[in-house]
Amino acid sequence: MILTMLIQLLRSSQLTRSNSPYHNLRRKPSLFRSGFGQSAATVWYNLFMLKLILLKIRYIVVMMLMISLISFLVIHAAPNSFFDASGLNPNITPEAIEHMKSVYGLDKPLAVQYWMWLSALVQFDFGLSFASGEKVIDAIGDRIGITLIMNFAAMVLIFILSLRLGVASAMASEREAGVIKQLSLLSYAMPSFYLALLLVMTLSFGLGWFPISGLESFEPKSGIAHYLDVAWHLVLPVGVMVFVGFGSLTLYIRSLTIDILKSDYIFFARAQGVDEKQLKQLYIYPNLKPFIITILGLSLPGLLGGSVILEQIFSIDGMGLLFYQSALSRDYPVIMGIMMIGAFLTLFGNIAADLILLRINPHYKKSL
Amino acid sequence: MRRPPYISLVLIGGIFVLSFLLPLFADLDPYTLNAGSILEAPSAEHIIGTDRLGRDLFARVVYGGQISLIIGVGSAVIASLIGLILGVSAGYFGRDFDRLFVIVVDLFLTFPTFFLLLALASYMSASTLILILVISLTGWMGTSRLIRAESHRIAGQPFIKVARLAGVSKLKIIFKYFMPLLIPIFMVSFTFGVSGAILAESGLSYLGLGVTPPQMSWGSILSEGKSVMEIAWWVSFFPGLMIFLVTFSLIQISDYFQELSNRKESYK
Repeated sequence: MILTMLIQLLRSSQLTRSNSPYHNLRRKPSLFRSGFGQSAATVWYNLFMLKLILLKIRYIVVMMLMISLISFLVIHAAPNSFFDASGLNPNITPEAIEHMKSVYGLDKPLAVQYWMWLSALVQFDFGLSFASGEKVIDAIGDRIGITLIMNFAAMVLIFILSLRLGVASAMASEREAGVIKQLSLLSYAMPSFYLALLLVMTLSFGLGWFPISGLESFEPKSGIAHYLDVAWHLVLPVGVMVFVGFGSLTLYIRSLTIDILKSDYIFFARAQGVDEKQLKQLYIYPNLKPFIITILGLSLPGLLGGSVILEQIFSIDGMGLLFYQSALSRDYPVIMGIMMIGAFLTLFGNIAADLILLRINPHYKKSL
Repeated sequence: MRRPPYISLVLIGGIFVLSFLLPLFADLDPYTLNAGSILEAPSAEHIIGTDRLGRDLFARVVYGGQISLIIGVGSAVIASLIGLILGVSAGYFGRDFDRLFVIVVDLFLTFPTFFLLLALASYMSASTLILILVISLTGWMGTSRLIRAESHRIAGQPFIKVARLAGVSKLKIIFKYFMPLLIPIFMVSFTFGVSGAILAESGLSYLGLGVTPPQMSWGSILSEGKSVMEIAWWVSFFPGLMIFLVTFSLIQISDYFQELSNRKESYK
């Protein structure tokens, strides 16, 4: 599903659309092309892909095992466990704590605990939260939606903005390029919480344009009004995310575009009299595509994390806030669960990007 | 030739002087509570106002700057050194060490950095040293990757091959021929690392996981101010401004180094 999301995102950001007259001459590589009448080369190629995918799966499994082992050890080596902290409460007897510990299996040796946790994980069972007693997977499921929406919106806006600005600044005069560069550096240096505070202070408290925090207004709304209300509440958090995030990507795309502009085919196209707009559509965007896909893959885990501070400022009850609270109360099952999902998304993003790149350009095989 | 970023250099120098030298000469008191002057607006007596316990905010920002800058520079030094040593070794020795290096860096990059930072910081009572260690532990990968790529490039150059054939010792090659060429890119990532570390520290302090009171950093002062921001904007505004000024100047300087190293390459 995430794969199709990625592809749709690519389509939406005008990367694959082109108005070129040569458009139909090129056969578009389809991601899910298969069927009868394949040549021997295609069969060989598909076998190669299969082997590659198997290798990648092995890589994911090995990495996940190592990551889980390390984070398990680090987290359990920490002083002050969840139940030590509850021992401070005079209403809880030591026997009750021992009982709780045996319920969660904390009285067993660490190796046994790890094995139990791992074998449950294989069945997508992340265990029970210490704090609330609910299933970790449910706790995550309740909160993942809003985090995904926020980060997804921010990511789409960041990619569109950075593509436009990056390409424009590479082709613009020195003066305009300087302005865009300073803007990007500003975005890079601006702490997200400071920007958020400034905006809340001026726009929310001062002018009253936006709500101060939360996701919904006080009086409940229904239907479209409800969604509009939520969107209105998300303007500031997403805005801050976009402003803080677009700088690095813009600079990167700018430097890539400058390299592309140096190539012979650009020189040739210009000599032929291709205008700037067509130059972008025909030569620059398509050549940026592989890099964009790689970055998209790398920013997949950012869909989950990266908003801890903003969720805290705007008191939005998402994954970031959940992780923050669990880290403070040493709620191991939740911490481990979120870390594992984050790590998996990172690995999956890398590999999905690799495979898509290979589909687009088989020459990429050499660099795998 | 682009001018060096004088404004940023002066700004950074000024903030360092303000934080480390001013307390030696001026009589600043960041700790004394004063019930008579709670949340006073900026005035002649308190240049940038007082906080909600009546403490002079200017003194607090000056002393907080010490912690923020020490953590920023300290973490960046450690992270860059780890990155430099591992990156050069991987780039120079290649083969097995290089393969191991890639796996380890991948492993570290796969951990969601801020989550790891949060998890580590939340269960160690944060002292300055621990914060430095935690931030540098999660921030060395970028530098080491850059250095590795650059060392690979240098190791392939003819003069290094000649030196190897001539029997120059490995250490001499590394220190005499590698290091000078790595300096620009090292400076880029070092200045970048300082600003990144200051941002990370202030983020942690903002979440209440930074230095513990009565110590203070810019992040923690800002964090104290957020509960009173409706009535006293200055408590959060000034420490945040300091963080921003420092990171922005550092990024300008980093950008200048970047351009210098690019220019050198184009002369070849």
